[in-house]
Amino acid sequence: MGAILEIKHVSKFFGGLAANSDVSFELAEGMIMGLIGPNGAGKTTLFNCITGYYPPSRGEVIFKGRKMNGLEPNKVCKLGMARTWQKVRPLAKMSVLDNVMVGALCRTNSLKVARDIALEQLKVVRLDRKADFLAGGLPIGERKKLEVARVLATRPQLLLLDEVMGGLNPAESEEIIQLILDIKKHGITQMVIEHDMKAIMRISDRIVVLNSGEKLAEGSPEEIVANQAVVEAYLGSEH
Amino acid sequence: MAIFLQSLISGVLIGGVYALIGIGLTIIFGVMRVINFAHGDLMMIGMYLTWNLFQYFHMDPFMSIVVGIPAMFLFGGLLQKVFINRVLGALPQNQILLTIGLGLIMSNAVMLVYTSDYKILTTRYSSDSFKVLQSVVNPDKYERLYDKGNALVAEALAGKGGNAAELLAKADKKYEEALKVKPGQFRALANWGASLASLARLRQGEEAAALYARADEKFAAAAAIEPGDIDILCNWAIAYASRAATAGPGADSLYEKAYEKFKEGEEARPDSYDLFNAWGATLYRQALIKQGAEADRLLAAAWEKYRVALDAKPVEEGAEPVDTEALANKPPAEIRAALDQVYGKFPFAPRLKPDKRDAGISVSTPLAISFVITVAITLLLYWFLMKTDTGQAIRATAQDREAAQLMGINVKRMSILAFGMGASLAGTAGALVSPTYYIFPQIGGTFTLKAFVITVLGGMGSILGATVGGIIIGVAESLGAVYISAGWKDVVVYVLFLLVLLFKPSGLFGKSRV
Ligand SMILES: Nc1ncnc2c1ncn2[C@@H]1O[C@H](COP(=O)(O)OP(=O)(O)OP(=O)(O)O)[C@@H](O)[C@H]1O
Ligand SMILES: [Mg+2]
Repeated sequence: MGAILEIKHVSKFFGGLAANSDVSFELAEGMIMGLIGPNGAGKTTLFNCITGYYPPSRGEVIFKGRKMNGLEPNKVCKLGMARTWQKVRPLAKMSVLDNVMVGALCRTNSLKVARDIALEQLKVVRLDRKADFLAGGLPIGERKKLEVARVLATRPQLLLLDEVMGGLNPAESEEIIQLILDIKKHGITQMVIEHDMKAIMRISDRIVVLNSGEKLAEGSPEEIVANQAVVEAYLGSEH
Repeated sequence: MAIFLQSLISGVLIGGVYALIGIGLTIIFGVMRVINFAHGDLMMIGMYLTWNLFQYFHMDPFMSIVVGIPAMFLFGGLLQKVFINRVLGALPQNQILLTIGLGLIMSNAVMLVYTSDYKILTTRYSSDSFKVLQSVVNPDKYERLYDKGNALVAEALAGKGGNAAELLAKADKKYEEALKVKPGQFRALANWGASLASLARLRQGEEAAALYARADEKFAAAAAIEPGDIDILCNWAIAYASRAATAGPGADSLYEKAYEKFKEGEEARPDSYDLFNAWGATLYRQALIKQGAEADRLLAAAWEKYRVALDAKPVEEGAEPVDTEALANKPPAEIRAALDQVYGKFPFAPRLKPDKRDAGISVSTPLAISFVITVAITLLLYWFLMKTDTGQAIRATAQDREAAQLMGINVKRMSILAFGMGASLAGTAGALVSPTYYIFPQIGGTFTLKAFVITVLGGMGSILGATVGGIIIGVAESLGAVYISAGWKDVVVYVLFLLVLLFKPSGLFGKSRV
């Protein structure tokens, strides 16, 4: 199983602030990689660098053996990489179905085919009953599901999920966990940012920990739990 | 009521064109968050394009959009790719400077080529109009039918189109219906008679005879209501005269009947130019089928009537009155030659006096055509945005450029499409107004401002808002011009604009922004 994604010495500077500094790791195909770290650690920034939302200041992102730096996000998406936003961004004035269809248009020019793909993905996230609702009117839990359906509709090989469980109640979180595991069964590689430790431990095959922009640790969930540095970063050194 | 409806309708019609300009601006703003201050100048380019196609290729201005739409689309797309693209992330003031600058370059470049002279594009139908809503404005059924009949006869007599017989046959029905609603109306009977006589002239044989007989009937009925009405008697006599021309042996008795009517008319009004003129013409015509002394006698009589007619004719201002005394006592040969000149081409057509009433709302033909095109284009645009993949992608880009891009939408391409579409819409609006507006290089400024007001009024980025906004501005201008004063119509528009900004800053259909 080869690496679908390679991060090589990626740094991102905002003025003097190093939001990411010299981060390197690889992501094997079909795996779920957990990305954790305290607030402001640079997780979202790393996603932005990977998806081409902005290019990294230094280093390289290699997706399927191809160097991505500076590639436009729409092209990145066509290559098979898609992400959700920490702060969900549905197209509020469109219907739920239309939102997902926009994603599907990444793969087809036919509105009819796009509609079929969209309905299928809405079923996957169990939102098909709300297909005709305005996206802006959905409660937060369903908006997150919509976000997932929308990226799934782009038929990605690598999916980057930024805190899809944030703000959800336990029942909703459980639904999302099942959803992530379902997606894995379809062979889609995933990278998941999540603050809920229990959840991340359950779903991840490997975990990378970021702190102050740097990679603090990397390993299996068991290794991470056992890692003293991680515990300190999260809970403070007095622990 | 009629004035209100009239200005409302013209307001809606011109508002349609305004909507087109506003929609273009709002699409560009929606997709790129750039206010295109060169929008009116794009419209001006469209006007000049239309003018050139008209002037040098004789292309109808409304047809010219077939060329104008793709040409303006390419031009707009190019502007986007070369210029606008570079300022997409820039400060608003930089974007404003760029688009204003582009507008200035356009208007000055056009001025360089075409000078700042006003150009006018005059088509066959530039000042045509037609009537609508007659039944609303003129609820009296009799009058409506009567007016319709008159309009048909007037059209037939004007000789347009060569289907006079058909029109007169229709008029026949209208008068009949009118008189069924309200029997015994003098004017309807008089005009009916005249129109039947006219129709008879276009027919032959028994058909003509039957029509003449019916015309007689109507004239008689009308004359019974107003004996001595000069128009009736004149038309009646002319009807006999034109009948006589095709009657062969029976001609003389018909001419006698015509003279009877002329005499009745003379008793009622001894100084009618029309009456004596027609009388003279009739005598001259009868003389043509006679020989020798008989012909000379008729010619002398015709000459006599002609002189009376000249006396009765109102002298035109500045013209010398004709000395009719000097015309008396001419030798028959001279009289003959003179009458050939005067009556050789006398039209034996009844003179109709349909009392001109302004029933119905008059709609300018070019404005109406442009409105129809506007509606078609707007519907097409709506269909494109709602029902095609590219349309969906454009809408997604307008809602959230970054999210759309991350979902695989090529937002640069969408921007080029959006600016191209905006430019085509502006250019189309330019083509549509070119038959009714003066064309000059600086006209863009007015329309940029108007487009801006329309989009802000409707809500920036909302197509429905721009459509409604355009119509509102059109109607406000038109009502303002009628009920306040033409010079104040812009004031009405801006007061309306300020009120909306005060009470609903996000515009009528805009979502409020945080
Ligand atoms: N566009 C930006 N301009 C300037 N600074 C930024 C920008 N984006 C992020 N930062 C800064 O970079 C650092 C990392 O932010 P980032 O959003 O990547 O953290 P995070 O790990 O996703 O945090 P959280 O868990 O709260 O989502 C923060 O200090 C943030 O303020
Ligand atoms: Mg984050």
